Formats: sequence, structure tokens, C-alpha cells
Amino acid sequence: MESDRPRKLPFRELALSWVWALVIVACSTGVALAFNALRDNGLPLVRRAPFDLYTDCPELSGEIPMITLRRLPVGAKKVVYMDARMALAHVTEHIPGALFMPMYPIDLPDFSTLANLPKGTWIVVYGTDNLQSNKRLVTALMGKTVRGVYLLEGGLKAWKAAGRPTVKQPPQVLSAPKALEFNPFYVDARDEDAFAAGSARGAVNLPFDTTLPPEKKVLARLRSMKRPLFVYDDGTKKDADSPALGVAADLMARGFTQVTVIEGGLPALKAAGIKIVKSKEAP
Amino acid sequence: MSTESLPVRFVHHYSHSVIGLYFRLVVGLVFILAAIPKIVDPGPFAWSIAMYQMLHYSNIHLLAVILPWVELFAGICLILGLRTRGAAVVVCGMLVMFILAISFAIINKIEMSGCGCFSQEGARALEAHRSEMGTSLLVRDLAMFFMTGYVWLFDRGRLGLDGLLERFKK
Repeated sequence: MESDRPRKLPFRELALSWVWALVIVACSTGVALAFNALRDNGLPLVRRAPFDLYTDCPELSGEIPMITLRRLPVGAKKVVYMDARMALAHVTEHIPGALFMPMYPIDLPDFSTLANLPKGTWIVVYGTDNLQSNKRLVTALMGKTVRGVYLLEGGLKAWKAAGRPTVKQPPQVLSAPKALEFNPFYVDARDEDAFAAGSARGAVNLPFDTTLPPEKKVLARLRSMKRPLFVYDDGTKKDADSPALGVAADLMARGFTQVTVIEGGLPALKAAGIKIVKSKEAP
Repeated sequence: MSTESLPVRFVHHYSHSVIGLYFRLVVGLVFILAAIPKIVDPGPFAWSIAMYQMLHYSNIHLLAVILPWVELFAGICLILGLRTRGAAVVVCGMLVMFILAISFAIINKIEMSGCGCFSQEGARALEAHRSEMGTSLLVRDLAMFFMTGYVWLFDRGRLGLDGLLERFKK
């Protein structure tokens, strides 16, 4: 073997290897193009249409991608949290910056805001642990061609257990006489029949509903008011069962900031001297 | 022989051919095994290239058709020891490309498990990478890059067709 050894460092061979590399690439390119041209199912060399990357994966259909908090560092920029719970649960306590995406039993939430998310953003859905609605939201998002969707393992409970911060914004509750000091705009949370039978003058009817989102027209009208909103019901139900509290929470979850529930509802307003009018107008 | 400098003797030491043969067999086999499914069905491979979102869609088919054949040829050349250093340059170039693509996907957090772009195993491996650095695609590619770099620098192809051809010439 000794006699075979060149007596120099192999600079020439190393340089020549680049030429041979080009030869290998050229030969394989020629064979590849010929093979592709001759085969029955050869690909067109120039693709005319974009790839449909956002279709559901057939291999993973039915599989819910889970994610643990360990993989979600605090302050991660390309992570968006999505709250699948209903409005009252959302405003009572949620992850800071979380998008409100309640999973209604009948209707899907509005996903249009997702179009503005930067490329590669992870969407982490959370809710009450192991609630079917959370999984439904993930499936719905995947079906709506959104990628990078995960379900947070353990939900909000796990988030809090890890000592991470939450935001609490429950609606404010005021008595009727105090409410009158604010030049209020009234929102009637009762059903349409009750509203038609008699409501505070100038009030807008927004019936409490956990199966469908509020009507966009009504929301747009309320937004245009730019006045503090005072929500009332018939005053008979308390806390989570109160339609006024539910509607107020829904409005706050949708970005309304000055929303207050009137304690005692319509009877309290009557007692405070508010004029009650009958209306046939449905919202 | 005694007039040869230490670097020259080191570069031409016979042990490089033995180590190089081992590296060539490993990397060559990986490349051949990776190339065959892509040659058989280039459609899903084109899709997987598109998933990286690095190239314009019009160029992706061309790359999906050519790249597997380059992998195959380079892998065969490495295993046979035919134009070994040339094949090593090709493989190194491809590995650099793969490393950049995987890094791009990881840095941009491009989700690749929720689709049919890779085989399930490939997708899961990429997923695993994000949480378990060390046993990842990136590390595997880096290891292969250094193995192939070693072959390029030190393996003269003595234990292969290059060596046979050299002896035949003399």
C-alpha cells in the first residue's frame, strides 16, 4: 500500500471532487427527467397551482393534537390561546390575551379573526378540562383549514396550577338608582315576548342564548352607541342563571368595556322611575 | 517515505479508508432507502417540500422529481466507492439543504404533524425534536454531514471501485 501513496496533500483530488459532484448531479438529473417523462404517473415539471396545504390530514382525522404547558413557554410570541368556554366562564377567569371562541352546540364561532394571525402561529385551545366542546373546536378549526391547532392538556386548571397569570373581568353589578346617574343605554336580556310586552324606553333586545351567538346587527348597533351599556332581565334569577349576567358577560367577552348588570332587573328600574314602553319591534 | 511530512502521512493513513468505508456504508444506505419511496411516488414528496413553505410552488415538482434520483445516485456511488469524493460533495450539499430546511421549520414553528406531508414516523420525529433535543432529525443530519465531510477529506476510495480503478490503471 505504501507505494500507492501520493506524496502531497490531496488538494487536487478535493478540487476535482466538485467536478465529479457536478457530473453525478447532471447524470441523476438526466435519468430523473427521463424516468419522469416515461412513467405513466409522472409529475408535470412546472406546477401551475399552489399546494392545498390546509386540507385535513386523512391520517390524523379524528385525532386531537394535545399540547402540554411544558412546551408553551411564558411569553411565547407565536402562540395564540383560544377559550372554548362560554362567555361567563371566560370573563370570570381566562388566560391573558386569549381569544373568545365559545363553542356553541348549534353554531360555530366566527373564525374570521384568525386570518390576521402571522404564519406559523400555534393556536392553543383550552377550556374546562376534558370537555367535549374543546375537542369540537379543535376539530372545527382543522376543518376550517387552520393548521397548528392544539388542545391544552388540563385546560385552565393546569394553567393555574402552574402558577401562570389569569385575567378576571366579571361584569359589574349596580343598583337601578345608581345606574341612572350614567346616562345608560339599556340592553334587555329577556326573550322577545317579554321585551315586546314591556321594556325600558330605548332599550335593545338581546335575548340570552347559549346555543347561538348574538345577532351581528344588534352587536353593531350597540357598538355604535359608545355609551355605557346596562343590562337587565326580569330580576328573578341570580348568578350564573341570570340572563342579564350572561348577556353582560357575552358583551364583555366581545370587547365591550362599559357593561353593567342592573341589580333587581326591570322591576328595580320601574321602581326607580324608568318609563316602561310596549314594543312590537323584534331585534 | 521518511521525507513525508506528518500531515501528509496523516491524510494518507490507511485507517481513514476503513473508517471512511463504514461512514460511506451508513450514509449511502440511508440515502438509498430515503430515495426509493420518493422515486416510486414523488407526489407526496412534492407535498412535503411544499410544507416547508420555502420555495415557490411552481418549482416544487421539478425538485421532487430530481432530488430523489440525486440521492440515489450519490448513495450508490458512496457505497460502491465510485467517485467517492464527488459523491461526498453531493451528499454534503443535500445535507446542508436538509439541515437548513428543518431549522427553518423549527424556527418558524411550522406545524408538520397535522397533515399528510411526511410519513407518520417522520412527522412524529419532527414533533419529538421540538421537545427532545438530541435525538432529532437535525442531529441525525448533522452527524451524517460530518461523516460525509470526513469521507470527502480523508477517504480516497481505496476500499471501493476508485481503488480498483487506480490499481487497474497502474
